[in-house]
Order: sequence, then structure tokens, then C-alpha cells
Amino acid sequence: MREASSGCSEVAGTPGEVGRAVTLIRGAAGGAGVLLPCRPSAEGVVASVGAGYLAHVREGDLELCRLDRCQPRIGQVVVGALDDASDEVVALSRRVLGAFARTTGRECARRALLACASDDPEAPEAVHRYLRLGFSLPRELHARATDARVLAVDELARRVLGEVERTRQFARFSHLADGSWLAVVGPAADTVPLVARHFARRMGPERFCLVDPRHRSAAFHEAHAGDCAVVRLDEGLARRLVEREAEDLAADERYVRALWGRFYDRVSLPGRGAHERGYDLRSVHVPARHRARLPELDPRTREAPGPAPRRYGPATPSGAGLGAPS
Amino acid sequence: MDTLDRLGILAEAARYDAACTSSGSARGPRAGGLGAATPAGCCHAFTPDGRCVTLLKVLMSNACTHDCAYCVNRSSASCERATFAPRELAELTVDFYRRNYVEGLFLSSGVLGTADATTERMISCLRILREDLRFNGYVHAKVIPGTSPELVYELGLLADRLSVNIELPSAPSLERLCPEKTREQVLAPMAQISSGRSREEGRLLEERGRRGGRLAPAGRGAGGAAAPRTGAAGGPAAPMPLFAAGRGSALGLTLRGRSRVGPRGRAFAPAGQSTQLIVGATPEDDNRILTLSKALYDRFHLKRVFFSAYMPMLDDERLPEVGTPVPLRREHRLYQADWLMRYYAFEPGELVTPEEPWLDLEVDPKLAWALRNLDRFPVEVMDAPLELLLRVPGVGPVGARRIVAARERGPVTFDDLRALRVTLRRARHFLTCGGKRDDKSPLDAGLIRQRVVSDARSSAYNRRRSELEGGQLRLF
Repeated sequence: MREASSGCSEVAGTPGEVGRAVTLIRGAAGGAGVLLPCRPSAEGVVASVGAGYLAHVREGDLELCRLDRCQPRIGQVVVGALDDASDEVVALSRRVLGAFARTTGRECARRALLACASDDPEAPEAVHRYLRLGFSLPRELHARATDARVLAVDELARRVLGEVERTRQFARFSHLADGSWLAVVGPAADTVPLVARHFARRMGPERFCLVDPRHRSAAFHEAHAGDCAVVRLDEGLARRLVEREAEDLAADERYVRALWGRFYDRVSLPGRGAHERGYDLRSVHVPARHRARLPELDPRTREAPGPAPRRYGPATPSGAGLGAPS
Repeated sequence: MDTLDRLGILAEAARYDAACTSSGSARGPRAGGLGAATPAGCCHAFTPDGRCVTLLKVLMSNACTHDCAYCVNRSSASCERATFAPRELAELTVDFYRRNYVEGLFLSSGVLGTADATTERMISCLRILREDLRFNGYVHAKVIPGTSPELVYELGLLADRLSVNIELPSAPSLERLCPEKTREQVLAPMAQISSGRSREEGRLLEERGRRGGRLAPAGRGAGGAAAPRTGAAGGPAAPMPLFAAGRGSALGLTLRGRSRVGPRGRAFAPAGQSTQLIVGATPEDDNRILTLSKALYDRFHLKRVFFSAYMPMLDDERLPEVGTPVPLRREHRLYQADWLMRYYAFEPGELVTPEEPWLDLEVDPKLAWALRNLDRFPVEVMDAPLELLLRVPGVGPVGARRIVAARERGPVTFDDLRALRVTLRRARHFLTCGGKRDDKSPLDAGLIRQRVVSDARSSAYNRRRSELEGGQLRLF
């Protein structure tokens, strides 16, 4: 962590966000230690680890926790959280993560980054210990596959990756009246920043918004842009975006949802359901938190959808397909 | 009849096609185009029967001039018929794709008059999809036996994956149940696809060579067999991943052979070809089916062979009686055996033999193999080569690579194995750590066999299937 350490006096000497935090941590170190709450974002967690290095406190004297789960032990001093939206904090987090990647390899840095997106209250401290271990043992972290600190971050990263995949699978876009697309998701980790590029590649010419009201994050994509702008939302804006999905649909949306519902109902094979299998595979693959937003599982999808959009062509008499294509 | 009705009929008509994967292609976004294709694919929904929905799987038409005995769409069946207009189906695909319902289209069809006329209609749909609607996502197209080579080639330029259904495990069975199809009609497009891909591979390698591109050190040449990857024990080791999980697909850590040219840069069927065969409609055993699968993989470089357990729904003296379905576990075990052949370098003869031609329904094929070969176990975790670790029940490619990484730093214990997410319930009987067996594993081979078989039988799936199938298992 040479780079971060060398910047200590420079950062601490400035009255900025990080400098103030470093001074407070240094002053409170010793005794029962310092508890540093952090916002549950990659910037918030990684910059907090960096602040600990800049304050020259030992690993055991500093503990990180989520801002919304701050529970100090007796005698432990709580220091105010860094603002993860400030340029200075973002720069520090990039610097720490860059140094970590150079020290331990890109895969380890990627895992740390994934773990930061976890909703697990232990995640910030697990990342803190993982980063400390990596910096103390350059090039060795990858071989410590059975170390408890490595296993903890591996497990967090594995769970977040699973939730990233489920977000890719189960986000459902609705066509809005203004021609744009909106998907509301409710993952168990802050996955929107991690899937934004995937959807930008997939939806290239479309203007869309992917919103997660629970983590108050959203990805906005302009038509033909290569990537999304990922932003944090306040409660009011998150609510307004979610409401649009119910109130502002395009004329064809209900019909296409009905098509999807019809397709879903007809592709299943008889004799292979939960009764015949002994368990319901859907309960394994589709967690309950995702089911509420899936149109194929929503009975309203089967309600009369209105006329078909003209792009599908005219209706034909029944049986027109018998040997004579319509 | 509107699109909603047609979709219902043509989705139901296509549901017996087992293949529904969107993997094997790698195509980034194109300017102005909609969509991309990723090597791992993506499942977007799970139906009540547990199958994943990744593609809009429909028939272009369920009107068919063929009269295959087992097919619900055969010409003599009295079902409602429908046919999509090419643009209608293309628009439907794009509408589903934009909503993130599917990764693309799986297009098959009943035979509308002739194979060529049907394929031309499918090509017309795919042209609208690719050219008018600028769809850049995944397309799987079914080749109808008897289609002209020019049309097969054209289809291959529009689709990511092609498939020709081999339908039944032997030529006599095909002749008996599908009077309009011949073995040659099925194998000819398979051979054409394989040679077309090999030619393109050779051309791409040549171009890369001219540009000074780096070639893989080992692998298959144009048209040759894929070279298996080797590990700790044999020959050049594959690069050890930092952590054997999480980054990309775990399949990359297996012993599967890899082509020297991936899907990028390919124009003709970049995701390769697959096939499907019906299990249990005719009397061929598992030995015959796995041997045939292996031959197809070797000869035509197939990506997958799909198995579909026959469900008797039609009264026909050539077929099993209605109400006597093939045990679903047979299909399940065939898939597991197929997986072992493709990714763990098992040979069909290690899993089934002419003397024991059926896979065990109660125990998975890897465990069954280990129980038949108990003299090869236990395996010492600290020095077993990667290939041998991969043969231990409960140890997969990720677990095996993690063990190899962990043992470089020091002794590995059973607690470490648990932390590394090895399935100790099965693996503990077949491993030693530093010369010691797990204290929960019996020493006696007979007791080990009894314990693992009892564990396997008590799984929810095995229990329920045993209840439903009763003692009267009918394998064909």
C-alpha cells in the first residue's frame, strides 16, 4: 500500500473529506478501537479501508460496518462515514483498488468489488480484512484458498454474482408511452451498477431505465450510447420511477405481455411438474423476491389484452395454417 | 385467429424439442443493431416442468406432410394447425427480446409441402429479423432432413446454431417410425455443417497466421478431433486460475476439448450444431445411445446431444402403450452420462457395457462408476492428479482446481474441503487427506456402497420418482 501511505501527509494536511476522516481515525485509535461506518457502495467501503491506511492504524484497531447497521462496542469510538459521492472519496477508492489489483491480481480486486455490493452487514469488515491481507502478502492471496478471510470474501462475491445473474435473467422491461423502456428490479444486492453495461449492450438503440428502489440505484441509457449512467436516487424519485411502470404504459404493452403469458403457459411439458419431481424447480431457480415482477407469473397477464398491434399483420380464419401458410 | 392464438398453438407444438440453449456464441453489439450474444447464454424463465426458457421456441408451422409415428404434429393427427407469417414471427421475437423475456429465437417447423419450401420460409423470417429489424441476438434454426445444401448454408449464415434431429437411436427404428425420413437425409446436413465449420476454421487460422496472430499451442486442426485439456498429471498443464470459480464459466476448467477457433469471427453457424434423439420410443439401450452420442461428437463435432424421454400420447402399435411413460430418471441419467463424456473425459464403455447396458436409475453415473471401481480409491488429496480428482464423486471442476491451489500452500484437511465447497457427503468415502480417511466414512467397501446408495435413494427426486414409477420400470 505504498502509494496510499505516501499520500498520507498530503491528504491529512488538506481540510477535505478524507483528510478530516483520517485525522479523526488517528485521534481515536487505541483503546477499544475505531468503528467506521461506510455507505454500502464500492466507493464507500474501499475508500474507508484507504482512510484506515492513511491514518496508520493497525488492522485490529479499525472496524468497518454498514452505515445502517452501526452498533459500536463499549469504548469503541465511532467516526462519521465518508461521503461516497464526493470526488475525493471516489478518487481514493480508485487508488486503493488499483493498488490492490497490482499487488494481488485483477481477479482478487474483482472479488473485493463484488463483495462490496453485498447486502450482508458483515461485508464492509470482510472486505477490509481481505484488502489488508492482500496488501500484506503480495501475490499470495490467490493461493490462500482456505484462509477464513479469503473464504469470507469468496462467499460474498459468489452470492453477489448469483444475484447479478438473476438480475440479468428476471429484469422485465415495460414499453412506456413515450417509447422508452423501464424495468424495476428488487435484487438482494446492489446489482444495478454491475449489470448496467450488460443491458446497454443488449438494448443498444433503445432508451431505457433500470431502477432498483430498494438500493435506490438506477441505470439510465440513452439510445445508441455505449454505456449507462448509474446514479443514486432519493426516495421520492425512486418512487416516481416505479409508478411509471404501472401508469404510463405504451398501447401495445398489454398485448405483448399476454403473448408472453400464452407462450409460457404452453411450452411446459405435462408429467414433469413439482408433483412428479418431488420438488418445485421454480422455487430453486426463481427466488420469491423476483417473482412478484414477472409477468408470466402474474394472473393479470392473462386478462383480455385488446387488439393486436398492426405490425403482427391481420388475423386469419381458424385453420388457415393447414397446409396453406397464412 | 390472431397472433395470440397462433403463438399458443405453435409454442405447444414445439415443446417436445428439448434443445433450448442460447450458449456458444460471442457477438458484441453492432451499431444500430439490437442485441448481442454471450457465450454462456441466459435463462429468463422457468416453467412448471422445471425447464428454463431462454429462447422463443416455436414452430413456423405445425402443418406437416410427414407422418412420423411419435410426433403430435404428424399429418394424420387431428390437431389445430397454424402457420406464422415470417414478419409476424420476426416482430414477435424482437418484442420479447426488448422486454428481456428471451435471448432470441429457436425456429423449427413442420414440413410445409417440401423441406426446401419450409426452409425458404424460415430463411425469409430470419432475413427480416436480421436485416429489417437488425436483430443481433441469438438464433437457433432447425434443419429439416432433405433440405438442399445451398439452403442449409444460407440458414447457417443467419443462425448461430443449427441442429438436425437424428430422432431415433438406430436406422431400423427410424425406418419403422419415420417412413419419410432416411438415415442419409439426417446425416448429410450434419456432415455439411461440420465440414462447413471446419473449412471456415481453416480459413480463419490461415488469416490469423498471415496477420501474425497467436495460435493455440494444442487443439484440433481443421476438421480434426478436439484435443482434451491436460492438467497436473499429464502433459502441459492448463493455466491455473487464481480462484477456480466465479470468473467466466466453470466449464472452462474441465477436461473438455477446445476448438482452436472460437465463435468470434465465424459467419457460418458460429455456435456449432446439436441434435436430439427420442429415448424409450424404441428398444435401444443406454449403451447404444451413449455409443451413438460419442460417435456423433467425434464425427460431426456436435456441441450437444439432447435426449427426450418419450411420453406415449398416441395409440400406435409401433409405439409403447399410452400411460406407460419412460422413467424421467433415465433421461436424467443419460444427460449426466453425456456430461461426464464431454467434460470429464469418460468413455461410454466406462459407464455402460454390452453386458450392463443400462445406467443405474438410483445412483448417478459418476458414483456408479466409482462404486464399480472401488479398488482405485481412496484418492490422496495432496498428490492426486487433477484428472483423478475429477473422477471423485462430489468433486467438480471448481472443487478440483481449488484443491490443487490450496495444497500448494500446505496440508488440506476435510474441514478445508468443506470450506472449499466440495460435496463431502459423497466425496468423503473416496478421499484421504494426508493419509487419513474421514472419520464418518466406513472402512469396509460394502458399507461404503450401502451408505452412498442409501443417500442417493433418499433424495427427494429419487423418492418421488420411485413412488410414481413403482416397481414396474419400463425402459422402452
